Amino acid sequence: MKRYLILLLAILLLNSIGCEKISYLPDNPFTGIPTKVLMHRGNGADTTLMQNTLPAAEYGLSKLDGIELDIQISKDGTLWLDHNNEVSDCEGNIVGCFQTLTDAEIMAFAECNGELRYHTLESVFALMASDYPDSYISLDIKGQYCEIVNTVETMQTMAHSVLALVEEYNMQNKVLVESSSIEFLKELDNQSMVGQCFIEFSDLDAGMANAAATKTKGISMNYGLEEITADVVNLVHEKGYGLVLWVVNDSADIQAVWNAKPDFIETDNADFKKYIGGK
Amino acid sequence: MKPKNCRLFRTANLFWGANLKAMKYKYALILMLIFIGWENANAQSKFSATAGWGFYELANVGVQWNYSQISSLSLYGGTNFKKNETSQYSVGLSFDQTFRKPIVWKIKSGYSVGTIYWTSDNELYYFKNLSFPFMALLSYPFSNSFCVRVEGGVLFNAILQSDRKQNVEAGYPERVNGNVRLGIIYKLGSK
Repeated sequence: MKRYLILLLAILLLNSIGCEKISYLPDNPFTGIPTKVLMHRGNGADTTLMQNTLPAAEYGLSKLDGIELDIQISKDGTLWLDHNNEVSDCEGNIVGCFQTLTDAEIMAFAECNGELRYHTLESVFALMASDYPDSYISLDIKGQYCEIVNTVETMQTMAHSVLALVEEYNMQNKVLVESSSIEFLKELDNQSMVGQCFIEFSDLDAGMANAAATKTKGISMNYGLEEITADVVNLVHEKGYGLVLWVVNDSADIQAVWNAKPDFIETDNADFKKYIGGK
Repeated sequence: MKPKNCRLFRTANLFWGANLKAMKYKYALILMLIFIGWENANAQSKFSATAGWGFYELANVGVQWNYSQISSLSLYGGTNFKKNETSQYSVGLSFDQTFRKPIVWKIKSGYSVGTIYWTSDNELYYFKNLSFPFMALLSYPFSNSFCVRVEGGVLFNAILQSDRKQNVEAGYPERVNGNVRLGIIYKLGSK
C-alpha cells in the first residue's frame, strides 16, 4: 500500500510543475497611424450607385480618406470587384462563379441597361494613382463558396495579383488586405508593400491570436463584437498590430470609435467627418 | 488594470470569488456523478477508481467503468489547486482500450480518446475550453487491483469563451498541445 501512496504523492508533486497552456503575446509596440476613414464597398449607403464598382469607388474616394472594396478573382487571374462569388446576368440568374469564368465571359454579363456592373480592381488603382494618390484602399478578399476550385492555388494567385497591381501603380503603403485565408495571408509574408489583416468574427483576443499565428500586421474586426476603447486599441498596438473596425455608421458609435483611435474605420456614412467635428 | 465589463467579473467569480452559490451549482452534478460511480463501484468489480496527473497538468480523480476486458469509459475531474494564482478545473470523459497482449513484460498498450471541458481563471483572463485528447497509453499492473498508466498524445483545443479582464496583456489558449498523463487505477471490489 505504501508504494501506491508514494505514487499518488508523486502525482500530486507533478502538479506543482508543468507548462503554461495559455500563450501570452510579447510586447512589440506599434505606434499606429492617424485614424483613416474608409467608405464601405465604395459608395457606403448611397443607393444611387452600385456598390463595388468604379463609380462607387470614385464617390467614396471623393468623400473620405479612402475606400473598402470586395475582391474576387477570375479564371484568368484578374481581380474583380464584387461582394458575391457568383456572376449573374441582368435578370439576376446565376451564370457562373468568378473563379470559373474568364474575363471575357464576365464582361459579357457585365453590362445591364447601359451600366457596367463588374469592374476590375485595376481600374480603381488606375483612378487612385492618377486622381487620389494620397487615399487608402482596403481589399476584402472574398473566399470561394459558389464553386471551390483549387482553393490554395487560387488564394495564392490572388495574393500575387494584388502585389503585382500595387507595384504597377506605385500604391505601396496605401493598400490593406483583409482576409481569413491562411493561404492568401501566407503569400504576403515578408513583404512591406501592403498591410495584411486577419478578419476576425469572434473577439479581439481570438483576433490577436490569429494575427500572431498568420503573421499578419493587423486585425480586421466587426465593430460591436466587444467594446472598443482607447485602452483596447493601445493593447492591440502594444502587441504590435493595427486595428480595422467595420462598419461604424451611427453618430454615437462614430464618436466613440473615433476617440478610441483605431487605425482604420470603415463606414457607410458619408457624413462621418461631420460627427467628429470635420477632423 | 481596467475591467472590460461587469459580466466578466461575474463569470470570473464563479470559482474562487464571491459567488460560491454558483460554484456549488456548477460542480454539484460532477461530484454527484463521481459519487454515484464510486457507490456503484463498491457493488460491482467492473468499476475502478482513478487518480492521476495530466490533461493540462491538473491533478485528477475519477471513476472508470470497465465494461469489457479491454474497454472502459472514464469520468474524471481535475484541478491545479490554484497554482500560480490561476484556478483551473476540468471535467472529462474518455473511452479507453487496452490490448490484451503485453508488448513487453506485463506492459500493455492501448489508446484513449475523449473530451475535456476545462476552465482557467486568473487576474488576466477567464477561459472556457473544450479539448479533445488523442492518447496512446501503456499500462503496467502492480497487482490484481492496482495498475499504473502512462499516456502520451495530443490535445486539440477549442476555445468556448474568453473574457479579458484587463487591457495590458493579451493571451489565448494553445489550440494544440502535447500531453503526458500519469495515473493509477484501483479496481474496486477486488480482493
